[in-house]
Amino acid sequence: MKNKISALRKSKKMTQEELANIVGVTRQTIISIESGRYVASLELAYRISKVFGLIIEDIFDFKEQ
Amino acid sequence: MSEEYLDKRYIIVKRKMIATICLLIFPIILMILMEVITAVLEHELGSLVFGLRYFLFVFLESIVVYKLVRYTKMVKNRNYLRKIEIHRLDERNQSINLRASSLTLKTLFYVIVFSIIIFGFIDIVVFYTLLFSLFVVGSIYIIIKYIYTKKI
Repeated sequence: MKNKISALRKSKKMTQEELANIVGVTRQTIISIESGRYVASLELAYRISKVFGLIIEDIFDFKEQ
Repeated sequence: MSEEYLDKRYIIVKRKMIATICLLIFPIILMILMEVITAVLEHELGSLVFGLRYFLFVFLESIVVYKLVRYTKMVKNRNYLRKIEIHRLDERNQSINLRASSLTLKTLFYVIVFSIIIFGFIDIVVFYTLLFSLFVVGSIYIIIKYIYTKKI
């Protein structure tokens, strides 16, 4: 599943480690989600979208699956 | 991760520490007891079995000591506790563990069943040991699956 986490994170000048600490996961999970190897759960997707002040659909592209 | 949650985990880790100390002591008592019993009965299974059982004993105790050191560090250092909790609750790690466990169980099942069939031709003792192992593993799996089916 494609997502805009990497772009949004860079626009906020946030590191993967910082985002991982905020949403309560490891840095490896953020790397995997950004590269599309791992699909975040609904709860994690919600927490990530909350960090950027957006809705889940604005970050994750569900059509791509 | 909230401070309240970490406080709860702190208490759980302290309880786990006590349980781990028991796990550390129990095999030592068991080994001493078994050594005394086998010495009294003059029952010895050979140097290879002797070496292997002590190797397994040291291996088991090493794991327990490692866990105990980790729990002690978690109790003393809150940042370490937070780090471990993030790692433990991380959904990708949980997903990896789930997939690895599932595949391991399936592989184990096929290996045991195949071994039972083969040893059915060779050795009756190994045959029944493996059959019992399969029964135990299967029973545990069914019970745990039933519990989680009711729980979730």
